[in-house]
Amino acid sequence: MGKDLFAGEPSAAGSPLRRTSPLGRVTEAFSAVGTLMIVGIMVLINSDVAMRYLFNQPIPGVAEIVSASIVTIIFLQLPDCIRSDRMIRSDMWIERLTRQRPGVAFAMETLFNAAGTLMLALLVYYVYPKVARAYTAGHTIGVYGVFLAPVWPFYAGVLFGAALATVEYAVKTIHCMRRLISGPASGGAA
Amino acid sequence: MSNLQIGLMSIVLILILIQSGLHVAIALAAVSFFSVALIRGNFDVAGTFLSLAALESVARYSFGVIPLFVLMGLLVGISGLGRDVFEVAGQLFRRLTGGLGIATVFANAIFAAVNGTSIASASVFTRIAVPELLRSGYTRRFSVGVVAGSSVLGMLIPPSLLLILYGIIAEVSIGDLFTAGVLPGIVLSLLFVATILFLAKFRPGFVLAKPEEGARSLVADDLSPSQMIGKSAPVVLLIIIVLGGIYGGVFTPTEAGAVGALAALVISVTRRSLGWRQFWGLLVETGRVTAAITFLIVAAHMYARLLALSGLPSQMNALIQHYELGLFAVMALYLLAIIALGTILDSSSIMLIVLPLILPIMASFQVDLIWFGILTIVAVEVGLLTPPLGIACFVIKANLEKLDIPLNVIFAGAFPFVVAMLVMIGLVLLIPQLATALL
Repeated sequence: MGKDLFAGEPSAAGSPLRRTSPLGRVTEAFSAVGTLMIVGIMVLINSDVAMRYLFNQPIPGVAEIVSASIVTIIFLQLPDCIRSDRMIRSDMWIERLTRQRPGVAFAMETLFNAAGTLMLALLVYYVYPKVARAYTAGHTIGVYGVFLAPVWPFYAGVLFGAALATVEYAVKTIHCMRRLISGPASGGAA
Repeated sequence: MSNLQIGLMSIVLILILIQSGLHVAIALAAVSFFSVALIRGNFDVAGTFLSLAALESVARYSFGVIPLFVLMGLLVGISGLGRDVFEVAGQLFRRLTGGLGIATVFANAIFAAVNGTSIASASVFTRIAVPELLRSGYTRRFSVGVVAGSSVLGMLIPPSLLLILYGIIAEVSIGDLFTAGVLPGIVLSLLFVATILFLAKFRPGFVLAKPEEGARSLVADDLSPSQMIGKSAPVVLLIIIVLGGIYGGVFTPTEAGAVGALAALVISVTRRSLGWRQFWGLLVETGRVTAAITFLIVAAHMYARLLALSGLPSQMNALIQHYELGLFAVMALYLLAIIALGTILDSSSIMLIVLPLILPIMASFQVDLIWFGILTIVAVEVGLLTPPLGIACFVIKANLEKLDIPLNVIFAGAFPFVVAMLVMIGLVLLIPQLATALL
């Protein structure tokens, strides 16, 4: 089946990795921070609405904080999303292949995860200078005199999240390659 | 290779890679990155596009709607509100032949107004409505078909994740899109009801297992008027907060998402349908869905920049002028293409791939982009119900649990509703006021 926005099941090909590994714990921690940021946004916007209508006193900087947080949230959640096989993909064809020719399917999964590793690594490579510049130059978000916040903590979340996502993709690549080498006996559909 | 050829090749490559199972976001990002590098002869611009897409493309207040409405939808899904609405609707329509089918459509339409995805509608109503429909003497085909068909209302009636996605790509107001979705949502619900009444009258064998006996109404669980009000109150309250807030100009869509999510949380907690562990689970799920869909938007941003750089959209425009194609012909080709793509791609990917190509053309025809958005959503949603990749039907299959109903039966049952949706596309095409009247 294909994956749409809300398909809940992890895909059959490439089983989810063990939860207890140290890497898994780091990924879970990143995702937890992102999750708390979503709750934070909800609380912040509700407070802003309440303050505005009840006391005619909006909270400054809400729009700026929400805008900056969204980017950080995605990249903090991305490693967990990759790890738990929830990236949106069309797996109808590859699932059939996994049943009929598991060797070919795992070779392709290896390539796909390698492509993910490469793209995320490139992203880290091209994002890093901007993050470094934002830190050293002290770039801010908001309007001077009303609300100002440094932008680097948000960017740092993007950078570290993307780096961890690269590692997760790399681990998946190695995982698939191992199953490819160990042969179809242990490499069937999970 | 000319820039144009690179642009065309990249679209073909993206479609092939997605079909073979590469993550959609990676396919879009990788092909765009290397195609831009090929066009420019070095990696500088490609790298700039990549870092811009990552850091700036989604850094907007309006993107807050995604996690907030996802969270609200998940909370509403476990709160048991769907069952309550279905019970009330069942009581309202029980005198009609096919009444429980109509109740399913009605309940889905209401549920759609507090929830943003067809997938959530399909999974919730498979568990609530299908067993009830079967027990009341409806055929398996009809029972699953009516749930599949009416689940598409989830993404047409606001709040809707697909409307949000369209608003982001087309850069039109999400609030306006939400307003525009209301009338078509109601009309499509009525078309579904008409379909059921038509089937019950002229094809009773499709609807009822034993047509000569009719449907059994489950009179035993009668609801008193006060019970009916009690069961509908929470949903009505949520609709007033979210949609009323947006239409009344009290909230932006993002604020409505935040207030709606909080209200859904309060309702779930007071109904004791939510524990701490479960709440955390829902939050983690919200994060995963948000990351998956928003990262897709980040990647699509690069792809849109590649298309602009390749000059493909303006070339297509020239081609259309050369062949003197009118708006109607272009629109017909576009809708056919979307419906065809719907059989092999998921809704969000179709929109991300096709819209950057077609939007400049629509702009040159000076088409109302809100109207165009509603047309696009209905056409894209046809793909949810058609084989081989009808996501709504897969979700129903996955949620049937002990009932073993084959996929082809689900597709067959959904078919009459596909026809109703095609009629709906025609109606919106001919009567643009359906989408624009409330604006």
